[in-house]
Amino acid sequence: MAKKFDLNDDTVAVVIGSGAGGGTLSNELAQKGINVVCLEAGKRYTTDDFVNDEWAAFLQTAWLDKRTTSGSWRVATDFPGLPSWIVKSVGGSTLHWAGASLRFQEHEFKVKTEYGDVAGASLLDWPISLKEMEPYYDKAEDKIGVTRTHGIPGLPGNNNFKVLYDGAQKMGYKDCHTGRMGINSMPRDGRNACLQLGFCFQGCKSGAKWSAGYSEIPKAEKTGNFELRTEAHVIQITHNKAGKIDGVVYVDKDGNQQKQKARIVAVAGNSIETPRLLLMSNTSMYPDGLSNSAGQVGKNYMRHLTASVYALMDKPVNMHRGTTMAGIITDESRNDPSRGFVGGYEMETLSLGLPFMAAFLVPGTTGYGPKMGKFLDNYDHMAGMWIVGEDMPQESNRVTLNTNEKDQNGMPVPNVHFDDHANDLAMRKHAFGKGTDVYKAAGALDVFETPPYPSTHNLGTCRMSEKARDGVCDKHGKSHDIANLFISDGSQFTTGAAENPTLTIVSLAIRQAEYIAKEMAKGTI
Amino acid sequence: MTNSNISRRSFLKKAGKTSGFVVLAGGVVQLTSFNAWAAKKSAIDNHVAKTMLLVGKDMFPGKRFSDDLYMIAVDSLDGKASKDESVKSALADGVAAFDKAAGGKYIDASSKKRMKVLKSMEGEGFFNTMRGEMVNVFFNNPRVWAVAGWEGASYDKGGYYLRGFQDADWPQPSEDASPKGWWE
Repeated sequence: MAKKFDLNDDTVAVVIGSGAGGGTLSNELAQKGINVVCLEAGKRYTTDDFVNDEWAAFLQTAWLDKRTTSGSWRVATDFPGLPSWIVKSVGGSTLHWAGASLRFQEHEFKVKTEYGDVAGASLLDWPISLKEMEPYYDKAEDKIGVTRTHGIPGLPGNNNFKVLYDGAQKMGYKDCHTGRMGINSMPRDGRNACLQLGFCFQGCKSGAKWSAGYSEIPKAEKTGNFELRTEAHVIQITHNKAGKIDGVVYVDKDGNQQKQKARIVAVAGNSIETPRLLLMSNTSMYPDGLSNSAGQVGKNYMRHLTASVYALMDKPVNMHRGTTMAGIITDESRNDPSRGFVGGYEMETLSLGLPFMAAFLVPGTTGYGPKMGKFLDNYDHMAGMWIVGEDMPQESNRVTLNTNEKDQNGMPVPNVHFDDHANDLAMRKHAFGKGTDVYKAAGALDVFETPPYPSTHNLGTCRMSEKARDGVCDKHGKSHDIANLFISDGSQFTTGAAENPTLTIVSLAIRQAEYIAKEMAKGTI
Repeated sequence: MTNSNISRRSFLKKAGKTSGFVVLAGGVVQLTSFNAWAAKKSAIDNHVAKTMLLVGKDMFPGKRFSDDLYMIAVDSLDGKASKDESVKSALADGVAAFDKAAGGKYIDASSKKRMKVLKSMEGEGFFNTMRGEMVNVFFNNPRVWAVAGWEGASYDKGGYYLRGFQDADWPQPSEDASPKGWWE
């Protein structure tokens, strides 16, 4: 069972974060006999602790440490202290994720080649291809239990999906179904089948949704090679005189600093905390932070296009019944520059409960008025979709340290700067139009084009690149500068693709674990 | 506190005689619900409370929402005002500013005028307070959910798999697109 490692044990692999990247990597390494200490900043919640209450669950699990924002994105105006909507808990944001598990398309691994030069965008091909990723996608789908793969049936569609599907048929879309989801359509891998609770974002109380917190971590604990430390917030990664990583400093739940020695360190704190930690770990040897010789740490922050269309239908829908993300239209995810932009987007049903709908339908000070009142008054007549599209990487979109503000540990807070690229704006406009058309076709009386929420898909701030000068890590997530430092979350993403990122993060973690085990066996790290 | 109690009593007296503020340009405020509130101990005076009620209603007008429900936001702020003098004075000042912007009393202004006042107040303290209370308290209240049709927690009821998650009156998708459930 769960093991305890000594703080001075310098043979362990330290994994920072226990979400899609860190939780998966920890379990995969432990299964291979490698000793792992996983340091998680949040607390551990079980399905018994989850609550079917939007605000209570948000306050229980959201990452609410101080952050600042800048740039012209609307989130900076409406939610200046909350650039992202992610989770601080064992399992990380897999507690919150909706379950969409889509592989990237082949061209999305080589967008620089496919899209060519796009002014203002720092496009780059991934150093890996879909073909190289396919075996790992396959393993990740099996691990997660993705519907419509490995003989697992699709989920039954709910009311929100029925409306989307009807609109899609009338629009002539060809590919609309209940998606490939990390939610059990039948009992599997010790987890229940979906009870259609409608509270996927609040932590799945039925345990039907894959979450690293209760799917990966307990398996790792069973190996006897793994220790999870909760409320252990890493504030610095340290190195020896030779420049190799030798440990981490973290603040424990009592507010005391501890130093854990390490053979390797893998960082998976999500794409804001990961670059922040590298930047905060600067020393005289690495004055700009770790793995930052190319000056790329924190740059190319991506957050997916995102937008929502909420419709007021002519009959009751009750979209809140059942899975939050109940189905998808993939027809617009192709790259077709004749639409006026490169890349594509997915349309996926989404519902929010009334409390969150009031906060997000029109966020900020303009969020009031007769139309909004009418929608909320007729909540049971609403249907909704979320738009997930590829946004352009830009060097100026970046996570930096805001040294004017300190967090609860006295450390500089991250500032998240973001401006939409012209391609993002063109794609969003197109997507709003198509989303509106879908609902009008299905009988909508009126629609809202809802701007992005605080980012749930935070990507790309430590991107992988073939050449060291273009990024932070190589195709295995290994730092270009330091051989025993790894990036293990969505910040590795070279570009964002149109698909929800979790499946790709999990696939990369499986692949990285294989690489780390092999290199450790060879003695190179 | 004494002053507001006096003003409440005089309001009730006046309301009894003349129907008080019952008829408003934007619609009818149901006097009974307001009286029920006004009979309680309160930190804020009637004019402030009435204006707050109408501001909340103007911000999120809904045919299914009764004034009794809109009083949820007023009550909530009243509770905060009773514990914090600065909240109380901020509410009074905010209402005074709304009245001034309306060129008289906000509650006597036309619907069109009131929307203009709201627009001009976007981002100001009292506007933000009222909007915040409507979003965070009013729309987080189970009585409001029941009227709008959100059903709240579902786990304790076994979720929706046997309780209408596919009952919307739209065509049933193809079996490929939406397979049968595990229980079928």
